[in-house]
Amino acid sequence: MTEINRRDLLRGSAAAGALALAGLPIEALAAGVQQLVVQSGALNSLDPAHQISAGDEGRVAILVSNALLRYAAGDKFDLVPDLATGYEVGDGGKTYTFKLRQDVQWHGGFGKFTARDVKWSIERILDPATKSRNAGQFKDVAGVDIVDDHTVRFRLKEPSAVFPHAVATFRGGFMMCEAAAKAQGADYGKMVIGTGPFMLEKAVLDQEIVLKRNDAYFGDKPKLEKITFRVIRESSTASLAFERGQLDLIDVNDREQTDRYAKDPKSTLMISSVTTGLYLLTFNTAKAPFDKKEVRQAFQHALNKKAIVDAVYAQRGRVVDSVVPPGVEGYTEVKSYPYNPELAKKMLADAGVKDLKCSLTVPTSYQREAVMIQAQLKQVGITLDIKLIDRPTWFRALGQSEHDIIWNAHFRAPAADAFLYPSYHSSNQPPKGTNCAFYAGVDELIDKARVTFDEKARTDLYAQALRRIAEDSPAIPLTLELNTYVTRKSVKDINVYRVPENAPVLERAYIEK
Amino acid sequence: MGILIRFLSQALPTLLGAVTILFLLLRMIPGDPAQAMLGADATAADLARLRQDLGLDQPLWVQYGVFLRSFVVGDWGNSIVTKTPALERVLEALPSTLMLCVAAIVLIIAISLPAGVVSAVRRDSWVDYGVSLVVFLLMSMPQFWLGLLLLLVLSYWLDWFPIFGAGEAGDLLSQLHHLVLPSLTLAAGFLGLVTRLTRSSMLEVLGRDYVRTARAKGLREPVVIVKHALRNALLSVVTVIGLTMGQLLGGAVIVEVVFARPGVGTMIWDAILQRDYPQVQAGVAVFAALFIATNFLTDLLYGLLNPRIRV
Repeated sequence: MTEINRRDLLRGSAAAGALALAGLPIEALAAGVQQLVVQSGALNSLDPAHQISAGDEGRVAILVSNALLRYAAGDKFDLVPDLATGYEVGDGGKTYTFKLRQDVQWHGGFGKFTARDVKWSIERILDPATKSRNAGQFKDVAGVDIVDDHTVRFRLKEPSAVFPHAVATFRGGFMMCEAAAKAQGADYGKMVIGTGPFMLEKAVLDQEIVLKRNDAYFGDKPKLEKITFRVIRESSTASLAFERGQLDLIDVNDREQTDRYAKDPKSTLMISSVTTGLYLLTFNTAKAPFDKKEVRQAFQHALNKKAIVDAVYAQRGRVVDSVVPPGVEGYTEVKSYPYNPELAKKMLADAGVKDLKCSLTVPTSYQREAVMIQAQLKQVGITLDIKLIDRPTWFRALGQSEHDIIWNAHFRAPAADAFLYPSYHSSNQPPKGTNCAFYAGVDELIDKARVTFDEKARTDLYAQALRRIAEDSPAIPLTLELNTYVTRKSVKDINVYRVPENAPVLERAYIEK
Repeated sequence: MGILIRFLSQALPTLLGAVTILFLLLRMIPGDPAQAMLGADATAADLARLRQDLGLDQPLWVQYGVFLRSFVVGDWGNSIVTKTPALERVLEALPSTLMLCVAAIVLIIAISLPAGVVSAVRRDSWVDYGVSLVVFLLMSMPQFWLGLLLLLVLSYWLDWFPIFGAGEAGDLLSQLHHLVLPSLTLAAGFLGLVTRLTRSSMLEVLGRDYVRTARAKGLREPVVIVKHALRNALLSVVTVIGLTMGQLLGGAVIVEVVFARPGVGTMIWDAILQRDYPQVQAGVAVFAALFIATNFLTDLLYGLLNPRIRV
């Protein structure tokens, strides 16, 4: 099997090379073969137990692998069946029994997908010897039982209404093939065997991943025959390669590129309407004067979020007021604080705060936003000192208490609990977690929602929590960073909404001749 | 044998010193691998478990002892991120980086030596000024910017060279084609240095008595310049080119990122951002070893070229 494929691949790449040398776009080649060449960032591992970057590894993983559940495409992140056809909740929310599809085959002739694979996948992630970074996702799991070949039961330590999100398409949720892992041994992460619409043909992690269509896929057959992911870290290089026809789809990361491609008649700019990536400013409410609600609310009025988003993100941003993004289960519209510097000044004065000097801890990549915030706060008499740090240092700072105000980014699974529990529940205050607002106002609501199995009642609880957080303002939500990609006009049907991988979904894409 | 002993007696302490400094530096910068891997939302419990797995909960001197022992026996650990042996990954990526650096050295020699000689021979002429202008321009351009500029002009507008990658495995022609712009970018910063140095040592040598003697004997000018002057002028140039190799390894990081070439440079880049200590250590230790080896070779070569210091 590999012999023929390798030869085909060599032939294909030789042709691609020759065409590239002749200055012909890959598109011309694709007229015969339905294939795309896509930019990718650094790829560390394709093994679901070790995947780190949701955007880069996730975009390959969602084509190769499936989870028990997935998130529907569209503007709302509803959980829908994937490898499971459905589930039943039992024992007061302590057991989840999933019925599995019976028509699912592993890639590469590794046989049928069964309940055994589910048990093995979860236990492998939880096994300390695996050292999986995704183990935390299943920390509430007490055990996985095989009921029969196509039925699997999860036993939980505590009742949980939000558990289904753990087995959805997100990092550790992707199922792994026991037979393949045993056959491949240490090489498992290099050549992952999945059940998805595409399978790995070639994987050189630092360079490229080549996927080919899986004709035995249980869902709708993809139209593309081949997808190549090329690792290009530098966005200017990717942009030149795209414009020269050597790449068919690239990420767009800044405003200038967005504006340029929006006007380009040969390209299609794709911007998602929602995303689960939310930026906010978090106050340290354990420190004066941020312990006063009125001071935090004054900051809300002092900031012109729209001006910041227009300047830095333009079409790629969407101003938000709620600490859970729109479209996520439990989202509700909350009170917004109109930009009103005069009111902000008055509120600060009423709170007895004069000539306030404070600092904003922010990673270097958000310097532009920080400078605008600094200028806006100056208008109401606040002197903001910007403390720029690198990403790993910032990660650490989020779990500490030294900051006054800290730039925060929440890239979470699309569930209200995933946004609220780690960041606003008092049990997660540093040093135990990343509730670096040191907020404790909605514990009861979060706890109750976690064990409320009636969907409407749970949504109501989240709505109450979101309204209370908006009122208390332990954090100021600023913007969503919308997923943005550009492709050729001839490439159709790319879904940019699928989350939480924040990746373009190429499952149904095709090239119009 | 004597040479080998002398080499090892110098190289090993230097290498150990280098990795020790690296070990300490990596642990002095804030943020740790557990935090970098688990990201912004890590809970203290998850972090503690991972730190324990990675041995980061041990006191620094214990970590150093473990590190040193395994370093000496050649077990350089697994990458924290990819879980594969760190040294193996470096050795896999090394040929591509070495190819880039060697190509840059070839370019430096092929361009700088003739340019330096011509500037010296035609001193204060428009050729001399022209060469100076070009080399100063190249020297003062940041590598990152120059790389993108070359891509824009030679790849994007003129379509002479590919934009990214290292070429097809096994196809030397394609690999060389992919190598031109990256090696030129990498070489650019050093072209100026070597050209200026060649020029100045040529000027010095051209004023020497033995050159005057050679001319007085009636030798043809090209013979005087190449055989009598350049050979002597090369002494200092060779030393600098040898030392350049080490700096080229460092420069490869940026060049590999811009041209999306696989290599040790991009690997170290990613590893630093992820605080992947074993991977950074393996990458930098191999670079340090190469640096030490090229310095030693430079010394040997200097001895061969200069009989006066031969031992």
